[in-house]
Amino acid sequence: MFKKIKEQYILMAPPGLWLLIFFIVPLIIVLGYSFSKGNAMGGVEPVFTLRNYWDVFDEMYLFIILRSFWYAFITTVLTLAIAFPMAYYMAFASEKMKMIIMLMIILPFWTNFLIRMYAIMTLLGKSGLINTALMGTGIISEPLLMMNNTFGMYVGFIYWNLPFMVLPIFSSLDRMDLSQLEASMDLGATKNQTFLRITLPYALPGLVAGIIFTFIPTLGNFVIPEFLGGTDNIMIGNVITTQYLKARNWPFGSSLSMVLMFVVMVFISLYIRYFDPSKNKNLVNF
Amino acid sequence: MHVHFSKGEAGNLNLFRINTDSLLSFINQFLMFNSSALMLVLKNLSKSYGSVAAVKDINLTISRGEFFCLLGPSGCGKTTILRMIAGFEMPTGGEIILEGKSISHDPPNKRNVNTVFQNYALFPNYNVIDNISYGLKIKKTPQREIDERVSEVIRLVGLEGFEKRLPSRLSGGQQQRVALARALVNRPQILLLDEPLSALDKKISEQTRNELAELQKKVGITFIFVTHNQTEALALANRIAVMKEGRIEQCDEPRMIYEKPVSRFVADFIGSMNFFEGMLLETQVNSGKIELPGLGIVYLNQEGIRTEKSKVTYCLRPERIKLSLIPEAPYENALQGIIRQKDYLGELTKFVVELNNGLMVNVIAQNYMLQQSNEFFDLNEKVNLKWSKTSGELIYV
Repeated sequence: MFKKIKEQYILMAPPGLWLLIFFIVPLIIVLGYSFSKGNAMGGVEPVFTLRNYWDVFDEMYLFIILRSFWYAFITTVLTLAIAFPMAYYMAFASEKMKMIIMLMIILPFWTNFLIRMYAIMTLLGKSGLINTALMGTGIISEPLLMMNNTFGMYVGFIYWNLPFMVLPIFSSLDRMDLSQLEASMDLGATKNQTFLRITLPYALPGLVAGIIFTFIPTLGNFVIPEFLGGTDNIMIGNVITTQYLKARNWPFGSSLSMVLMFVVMVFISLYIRYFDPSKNKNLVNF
Repeated sequence: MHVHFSKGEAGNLNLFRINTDSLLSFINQFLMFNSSALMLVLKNLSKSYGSVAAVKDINLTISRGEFFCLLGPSGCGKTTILRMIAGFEMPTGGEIILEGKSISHDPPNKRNVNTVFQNYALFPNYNVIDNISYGLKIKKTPQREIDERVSEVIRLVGLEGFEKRLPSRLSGGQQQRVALARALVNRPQILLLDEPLSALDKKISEQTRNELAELQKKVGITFIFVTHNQTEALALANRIAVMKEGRIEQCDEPRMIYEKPVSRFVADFIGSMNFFEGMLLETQVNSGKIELPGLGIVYLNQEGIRTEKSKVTYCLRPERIKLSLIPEAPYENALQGIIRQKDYLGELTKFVVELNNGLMVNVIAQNYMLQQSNEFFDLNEKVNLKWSKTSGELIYV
């Protein structure tokens, strides 16, 4: 027993150390910054102040935080709506088909994220592929505005999040035994009843993981609103980036980060509490 | 926790003996309601996957309350028939008639037929009670009736005390009981069982086999049982259909399947059998004279031997042959041979004897009988093989 514990510590040491140095320590530094005073040179003065947090509770910033949550929420819902049928199809496809779809999902990861964003821009742009094709065939006369607006931003978000939603749901459903669906039908259930009572509870752990993997990174994202969103699609991530890189107000950027993190933590812990994947059996019950 | 678990398992091995009169009378009444004796008729039933025919033109009638067994090697189409009765596969030809009504193309949820799956297919997120009551809840049965019926069936299969367990926390035998209870609680017209004992280890499987037979007698529901295990089939079934390559080779009572196989396949698949190619020379009343080339003449005293000369396969069960050093009696056939192999199997000894023409014959002897008669045979010993002229079967080529 003693030996076993010792081995565990040895195995846990490298990742533990890594997390300590590159996660805990920076977090503490940011926490410290958020209570410090910035100076005109963009530096940080070690003076304790709550001023930065007071500034966060400005109407404008609260609105942006709220809007970011809204965007993340809508993105999650839309991604889920697209990803679930995909994952479902994939889980019940032949082994060969599974491999092909899996490759199609993973392949884009081999390309740089920014390059993929530029590729999407060449698709959605005013004189992009889609508009050119539609105007060429005479379906539309004016180019559709699909970029630098909310629509473009959602397209970007969904594109970016899809694999993170599909893969966990797929891995949940993939373990499912098809004979359970037959058993449900055998006991008198229709296809819809079978889906609600058997398939969905089975997919739930993956669903929860996929929602978390989608919601949180979307909430803090600043690249996609910048590339594909319009001027009125500023998200909290953009504000933080601006504070750090342009306004050179690190303390304020830090306090915004801390507030965001706090809200996310509250949100996630509530979510886990009521949708605990390990206790999902009671969620979709009779 | 573990102690409790194993104790529960042991305590439940005696299941199905619990008094279940009220449930039984109810089910019997339910079944008597429609009094036709023919429960299920399969008429020219066929199933092809593309150009591959899995089930070929099956005709079968199964009576009410029968314990019917589909027996055959894997890929013989027995599971496909079961799945067509359940509604998971649609036939490409023929009809399935349940109580006079064709159900060939009804979806599974519209058939009053329930299945016990080979891997049980329990719902992992539901506990024992929720698994068992699934069908009743789907049918919007009043909660009070659900409670009554579920607790009755739990008593029937001996799962008391496990009501709140998830399937993953049950042993294989217990999971099998849940699967059985989940199907039986719906009071189906027919219960389909797809190799329900194959996932259990030998001891538990034998135990469960006995319990299953008893349960079937009690509830009186028609059981259709699919297996590749001949022992299960012989022990459980009222009738067995032996299948080969999508067709029924023979459909009869277990005793007849074993003692009067109609084809070499059936003779070979059920138990073990010695085959001799021969020629039916002449037939008198209830007696035939068969020439086995290179070995000599044997006689078969049996009814119904064909009168015309023909090529035959003469079949003889290993346990019917007696090894001896003494010459045969007038009522016995005999051949000479040399013992080439001798396997001690506890209650039995299995001998392989080489005959004069090089043919190898299996002989099984009860060790107790060998001891009683003080006969012990050694390898490479020359022996007489003797058997009654009433033993043996002819398959006409």
